[in-house]
Amino acid sequence: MNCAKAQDMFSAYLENVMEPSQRVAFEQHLATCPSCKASYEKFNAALMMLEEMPQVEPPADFHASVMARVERERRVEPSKVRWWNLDWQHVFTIRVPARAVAMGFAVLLLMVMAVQFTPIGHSINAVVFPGRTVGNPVGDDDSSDAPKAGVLNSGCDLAKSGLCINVSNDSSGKAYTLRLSSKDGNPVDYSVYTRTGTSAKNGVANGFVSRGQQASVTIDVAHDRQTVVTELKWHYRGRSYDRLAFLPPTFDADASAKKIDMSFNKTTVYQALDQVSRSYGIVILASGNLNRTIKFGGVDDGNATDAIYAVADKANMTWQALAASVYEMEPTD
Amino acid sequence: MLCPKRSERLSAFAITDKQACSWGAFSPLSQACRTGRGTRLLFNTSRVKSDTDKAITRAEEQVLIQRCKDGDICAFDELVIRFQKRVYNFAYGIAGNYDDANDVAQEAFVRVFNSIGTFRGDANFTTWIYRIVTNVYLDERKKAKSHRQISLDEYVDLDENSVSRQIEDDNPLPAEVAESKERNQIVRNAINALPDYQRIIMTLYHLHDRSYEEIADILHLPIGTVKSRLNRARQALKEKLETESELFG
Ligand SMILES: [Zn+2]
Repeated sequence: MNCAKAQDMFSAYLENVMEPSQRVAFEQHLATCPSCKASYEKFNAALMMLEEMPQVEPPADFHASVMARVERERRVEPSKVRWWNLDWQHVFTIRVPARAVAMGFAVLLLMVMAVQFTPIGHSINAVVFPGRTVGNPVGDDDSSDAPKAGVLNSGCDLAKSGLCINVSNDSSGKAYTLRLSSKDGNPVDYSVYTRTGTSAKNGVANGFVSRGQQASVTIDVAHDRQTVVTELKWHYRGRSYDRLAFLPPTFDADASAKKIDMSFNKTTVYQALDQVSRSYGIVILASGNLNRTIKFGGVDDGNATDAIYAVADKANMTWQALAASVYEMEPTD
Repeated sequence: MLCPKRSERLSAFAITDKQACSWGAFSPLSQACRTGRGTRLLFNTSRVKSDTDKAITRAEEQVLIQRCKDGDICAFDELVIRFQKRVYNFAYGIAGNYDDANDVAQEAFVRVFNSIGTFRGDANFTTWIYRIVTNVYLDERKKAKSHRQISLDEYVDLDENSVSRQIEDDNPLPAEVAESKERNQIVRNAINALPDYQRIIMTLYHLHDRSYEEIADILHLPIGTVKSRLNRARQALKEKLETESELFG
C-alpha cells in the first residue's frame, strides 16, 4: 500500500468498515511509515477536538422571540397580494453577483409584479417596439399599474448584459408577460422562442429595445398542462446571451408549502427543470448547458426549494430564490 | 398567550450519545474506544456533549405534532421548548456564530410553524426539522451572497476577534478552561472555513450523531456523496488544524 492510498482510507479505518485484509495492509503501512502514522494521529486528534466542542445554550429570550414571531404570523393571514408585494420589495434589492458579471453570464433581473395586471391580450406575438407595434397590439398595457420603465430601470443598473427582463403572470393565470428593457444607449436586439414538451422550437418575437423603452412579450400558458420553456437570446457589446425561463402551466406563489415525491433517472437537467417547474408551479430562470444527464436524484416529500436544490446539486449549478416560487440557476464556474 | 406553565423546561430532544462508542471506532493508536472511555491522545478536557434529559417518546411526539397541526398554539409552544436546544445547536454548528444561529433557528421554527400542516405523519420528524434548519441556512446564505453581505471569511475574522476579546477578558479563568476555550474557537474557525455542505455533513455526523442514512435523507443526497463529502471534510479539517502548531505541539 502506498501513502496516497493509505490517506484515502483514514475515514474507513476510523469507522471500522474495512475489509480485514485491507485493515491489515493499512496497519502494516502505518507501522512502517512514520509520515502516514503522524498524519493519521492528527486526523484522529482533529476529529476528537471536533467532537469535544461543547454544546451552546440558546439565548434566554429565544423561546419568547420565536413565539412572538409566530403570534405575528398568526395575526396577519398572508394573502396572495401580500406575497407579491413582499416579492417585489425583495426582488428590487437583488444585486447581481460580480462573478457572474465577470464571467459574462447572462445577467438578468427577474421581477414578479407587485400588482395584479389588468388582463392584456393573451396572444403570442404581441410585441411592442418603441414607436411601432408588431403583431397584436397590447394597446394601453403601459397604462396598467405596472411599474413604468423608469422604475424598472432603477432596479436594473447592474445589468451589464444590457437587458433587463421582468416576468409577471397576469391575474387570469393564463399568460406570462416578459418585459424587456434596456439602459444602454444602443438598442439591444433580442429573440424569443418557446418550446413545450418535445415540440419544435417556435419563434415568438424579435426586435430591438432601446434605453428607456420596453418591449412586452406575452406567453400563453400551455393548454396541455405542460411547462412552456421560453428562450431569450440577445446580443450586447459583442457578446451573445441566452437564458431559459421555465414557465409552469399554473403558477403557485406558495410552492414552498407543497410537498412532492419526485425522482430523476437518466434525465437531462433541462427535463428535470421542466418537471420541477410544472409539478410545483414555479418559474425557473436558467443559463448554461442543460443537456447534462442526471443519473439519479430527486426529492422525497420535498418542497420546491428541495427540488431545485436536488437538481442544482446534481447538475453542479448554483441557485437562488429570487422571490417566492421564482428561482434562478446558473452553472458553477 | 397563556399556555400552561411547565414545571420543568425540558430540552428533551437535546443531543444524546446514543451509545458509548457511537462510531464503533477503535483507534490502533490508543486502543480504546475514542468516545466511550474518554481516552484522549492529546487533551484532557471534559467532554460536555451528552445531555441527560429524557427523550420524548415517539407516541408523545406524534400527539404533540397532531395538536400543532390542529392549530394548538400551546402545543407549538411546547414543541419549541422541546426542540430549541437541538435546533439552536445545529444552527450554531452550521452558521458558525451566535447571531446567525439565532436568526436561522428562529426562522426555522417559523417555517416549522407555517408548514407543519404538510408534515407527513409517517416521516421522521427530527429529520424533517434538520432539513428545515439546513434549508433556512442555505437560503439565508444565498441571500447574504446576493446582497454581498458578510462572507464566510469575515465570519472567521469576527470569531478571531471574539477570541482575542475572550483572552483579554479580565475575568480570571482557570488556565485549563481558557486553553480549552481557545482551542474550541480555533476548531470552530476551522469548521467555519469549510464549504457549506462539508460543514453541514460534519456537524450532523460528529456533533449530532446522525447516521449516513439520516444525513442522506436530510440533505436529499445519495449515501455515497455524503460519505465522500464527509471524508473530504475530515481531511480538510485536519489540514486546517495542522497549521495551528500549538494544537499538535
Ligand atoms: Zn505512508
